[in-house]
Amino acid sequence: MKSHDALWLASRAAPAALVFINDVQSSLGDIDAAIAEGDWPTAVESSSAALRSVFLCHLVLNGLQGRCAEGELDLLVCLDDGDVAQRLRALPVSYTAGEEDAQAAQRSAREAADELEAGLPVKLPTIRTVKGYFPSVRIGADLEALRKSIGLPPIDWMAWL
Amino acid sequence: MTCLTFNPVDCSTFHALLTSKKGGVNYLGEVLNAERSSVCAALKRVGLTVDDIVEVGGSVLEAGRPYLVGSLAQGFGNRGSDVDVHLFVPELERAAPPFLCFVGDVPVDIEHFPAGVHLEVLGGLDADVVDTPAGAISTGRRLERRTRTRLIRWTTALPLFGETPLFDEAQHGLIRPHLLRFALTRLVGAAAVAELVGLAGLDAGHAWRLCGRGLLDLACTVRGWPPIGDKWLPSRIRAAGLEPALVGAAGEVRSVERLVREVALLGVPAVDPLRATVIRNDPGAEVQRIGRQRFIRTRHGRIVEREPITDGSFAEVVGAVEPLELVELLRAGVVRVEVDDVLLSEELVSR
Repeated sequence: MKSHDALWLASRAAPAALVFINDVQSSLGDIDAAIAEGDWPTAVESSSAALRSVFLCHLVLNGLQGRCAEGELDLLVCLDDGDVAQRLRALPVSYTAGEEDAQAAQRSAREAADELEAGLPVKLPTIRTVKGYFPSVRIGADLEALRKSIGLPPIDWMAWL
Repeated sequence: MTCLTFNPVDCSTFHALLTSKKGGVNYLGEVLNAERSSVCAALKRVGLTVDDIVEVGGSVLEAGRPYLVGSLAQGFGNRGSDVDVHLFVPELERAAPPFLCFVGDVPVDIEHFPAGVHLEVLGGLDADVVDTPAGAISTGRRLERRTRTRLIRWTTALPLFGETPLFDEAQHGLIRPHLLRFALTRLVGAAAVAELVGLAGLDAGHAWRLCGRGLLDLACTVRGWPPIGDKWLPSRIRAAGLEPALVGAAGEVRSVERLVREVALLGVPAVDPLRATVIRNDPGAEVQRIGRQRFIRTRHGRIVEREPITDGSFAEVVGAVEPLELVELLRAGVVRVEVDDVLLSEELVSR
């Protein structure tokens, strides 16, 4: 049986889930679109964006309030020894990237995103789709209700966008 | 009807230009790329037409003047891009939250703004500049993030129904110094961080690589391709026609001196990043007293057992606190490396 700390879920996993659906999901879609068009440099850039967003999600899960300041996330990526930071640093230079680089970058971003998603207690549909939008809004409302029930103020959603 | 017309020429003309790889306008008003100036060509990238947008937007679009903004309007974008529409509505008091709709699988965001707000934002820009070979660069207050994002979107907006562009050439001339300043500020901040990481004896390879990106971002901005989302940097490099030698040089930057030399080659004053940056206590960190003990509570949700540092220039703080400790304080969110607006402006003017 899986269980989660309610306070952690409401205060940290909830905003991390928001960052996941806003940033990670959209970047993963961007990689697919770039690869479909054979735009390898943009696929690598989008993989980088996805990995940066996964990294940000981990920061939020660890307590970051709001988004990073200009340049802060890059600095943390430079200094971090974790798996996601290493994946980011290992990406090839995008401007000269070829198909193989793009495919490898996509795999790396996808693996990191899958691992993150598996660790999030809330299962999330893809928000910017016809089928996923309203269920995502519903999940947001349910998370607000959870926060209220354990005495937390409403989420400042704009702080995470 | 496959496409609504727009002035001064119709879509078929632009498609012809597109085929010939000539024509189009960048934000400097220069003729560069046909895709850029055709709303039809932009929407075609996601498989849509103006009619599709009219159909999904319905009467909402009749409330004001709609403009296509974002990556598609900027001449980039791909099949996975969203369609972003900004609608300028008379008598609207303030910007309204965007609403999302879909044409098939393509998300369409429509955001409402008061008519004339773009001119208000323009009027609020600081007019102080320094003239450089790369063009005028702002020496005034930096643009707040939201204002900057909006200005970039509006400066490259395409009228959906063939109305006039949001800004004329003279107005673009007022915006450009701020975009150059933003790109330069970002690069200066990245260089200071890379230097600090190196001083701490840590591997600064990734930090210098980011400086190389910043150099290319600045070069694209100098050539008229504004600093938009990171993922479009390769597209901007192509559109701006950056020389392979410059791209190669960006990958070789490993020191402030080399970076400054490359920046100077762009016609941008060779400002010293370390003289333009400060290291200070993070504004999001607060002293937390618990009994007689004092801690620092950071945005990262940490309670750090330490007193705040004394804010100062890069050199002052690095002279007072060991670089390795500084890096740890940066990681914890206790301090921040920041480009100082006044110092950067002084550097720009003095060069």
